[in-house]
Amino acid sequence: MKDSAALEDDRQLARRAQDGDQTAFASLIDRYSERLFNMLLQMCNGNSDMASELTQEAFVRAYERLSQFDGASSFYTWIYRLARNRAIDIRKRKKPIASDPHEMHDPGHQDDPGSQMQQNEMQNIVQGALQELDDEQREIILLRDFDGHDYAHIASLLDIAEGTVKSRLSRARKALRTIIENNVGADQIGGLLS
Amino acid sequence: MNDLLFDLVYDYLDEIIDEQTWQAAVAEHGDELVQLLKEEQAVRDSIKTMPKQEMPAALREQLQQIPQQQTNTAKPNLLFPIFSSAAALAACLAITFIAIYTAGGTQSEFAPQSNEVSTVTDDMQKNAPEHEQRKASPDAFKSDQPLAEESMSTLDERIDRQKLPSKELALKDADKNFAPNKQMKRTEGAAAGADNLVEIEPLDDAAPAQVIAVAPAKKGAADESTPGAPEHARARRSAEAKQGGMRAEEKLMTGRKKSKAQGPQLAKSDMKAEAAVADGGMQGNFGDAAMAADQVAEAKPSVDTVELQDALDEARNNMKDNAKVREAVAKTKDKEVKSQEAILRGMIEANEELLGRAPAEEEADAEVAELAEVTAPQLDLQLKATAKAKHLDLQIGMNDVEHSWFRKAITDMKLIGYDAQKKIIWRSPIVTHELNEDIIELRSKDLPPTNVRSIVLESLNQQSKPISYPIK
Repeated sequence: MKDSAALEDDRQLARRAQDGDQTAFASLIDRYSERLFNMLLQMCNGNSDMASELTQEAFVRAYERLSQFDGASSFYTWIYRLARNRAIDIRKRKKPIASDPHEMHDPGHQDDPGSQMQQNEMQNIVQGALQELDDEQREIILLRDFDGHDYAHIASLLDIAEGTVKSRLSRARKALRTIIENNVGADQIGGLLS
Repeated sequence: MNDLLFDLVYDYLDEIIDEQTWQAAVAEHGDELVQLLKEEQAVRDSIKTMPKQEMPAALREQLQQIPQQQTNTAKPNLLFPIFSSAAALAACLAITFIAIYTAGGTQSEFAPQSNEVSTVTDDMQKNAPEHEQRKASPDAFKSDQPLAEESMSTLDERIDRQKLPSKELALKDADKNFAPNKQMKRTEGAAAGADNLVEIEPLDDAAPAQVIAVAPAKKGAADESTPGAPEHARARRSAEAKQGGMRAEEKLMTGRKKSKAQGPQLAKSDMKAEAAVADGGMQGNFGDAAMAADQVAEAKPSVDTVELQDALDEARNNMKDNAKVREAVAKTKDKEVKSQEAILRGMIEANEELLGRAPAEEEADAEVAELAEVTAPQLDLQLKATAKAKHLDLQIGMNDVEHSWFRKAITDMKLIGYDAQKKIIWRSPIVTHELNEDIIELRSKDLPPTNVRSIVLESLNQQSKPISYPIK
């Protein structure tokens, strides 16, 4: 019920934006831009410039194509696809995306990243391992665990079967675990948790 | 580590299996499973709590301006028609770029060079719709060209690869493919002791080899480069090749009439041989043609098949040496490649349209070239399931393509049985990286889902029918 209400709301906002209502599109931006930016930030290996530009470009493209938004999916799903598509284009043209996992802990961007790093060594290890995954595997883990989408939504986002989402996710997690074990040693993982 | 335990942990955390099943698993596998659960939970928690970076203020402000700028220019402006809505959006982008740079932001690939950020007008032009930019400054797009050129160059190389394989390779491949299927090894006449003898050597070493008399199957079939080929035979073939195919065709017709008159069995072999000769010629695989001719001879060795054999050999030689045939085959291949490219382009455009995105022309070209390159090996492999093909499917995201492959995969699978958990286990001789995903999906269910079951049944019913190429 909540989802359908949000969907209807997205559709109404998009329709109003098409009709020239400036506040409607601003509402959509308010609602989704930060979420999209953060997701893209993770996908771009912490490159905030890239994430900023992809976010901006996605909204510009979305605005240009508002008439194509039919409301079948949420606005976020739609704009995520636009951003993702563009990110894929960039990856094809320019490899690799500038990667700096430590940038995500830039003190200039976080309230207290230093203490956060100290508090959770495991998080850093996982984050480093995530950057070593290939794009496809990293994306599906982020969509599920970072962005919190359910399987059906991920399937819709990636245009694949729900069962494929599960199996791909399972494979990505195994890959992630292998990387972590290789980086820190299988016997040390338990120690990190204690 | 035990993958089964990982699967259990993942399934439990993803709520695919219920608490009761999990407890049963814990009882069976003990502390190791609990430890894995703890570790996996920690990994997921780490991802969930990864630092989220607040969207930069400049970006936020810029995004907020988009609808306002757009509204201000929504009505047609008769004095400045050039300032369309797109131009207004471009102005928004320009302001953002300036804001980012004046704030000391890191230069990125989207941003203009510092000496280009001189005026808003420059940036507006830079961010104008691509077709307008092309009109205004074609040179500005030179940076895109190397990629497209590179892709097209690769495409050219790929098209070159579509040319017929060498005669030696074709013959070698045909023999290589023939032996395992027929469970025998054929020895050439010279080795068997006579030109019209073929030695059948079973793969089972314990079984005795047999030498049977057949028509001189290899008459004229050996390549000129074959070591030991008689000089007079090479000269004869050379002369025949120069005379063209008319005489060979006449003999082929005569042989066909005779063979048909000699009975349905031979007629059938004749037709099969003829088809194989034609097919072999088109595929550049003359070894198949030779084998087919042998089969004709073996089908009824007591009758006079020498003439028919000669006709087939000559037809084969004629096709082999006829440049026009080669050219026709190359054109066919080329046409096939172009057709594939057109299909790919259409699919990409359709996909882009679905995603609400119209790719620039050079982007589409590059993408077509890239995808066509992936497709190219399949033209040679012919319907063999490959991970690359699946990759293509993933890129395009067409469900119907995926289903075609899935059907093909299911058709090649065999139901082995049920494991201890009564989960269905499938095995495929063509298991690929991507196909495994579907297998895992099947294994995750106690029974196959209705749609999968129907696909399986449908596939079983269609087993005798050829599976069409997945990209229609």
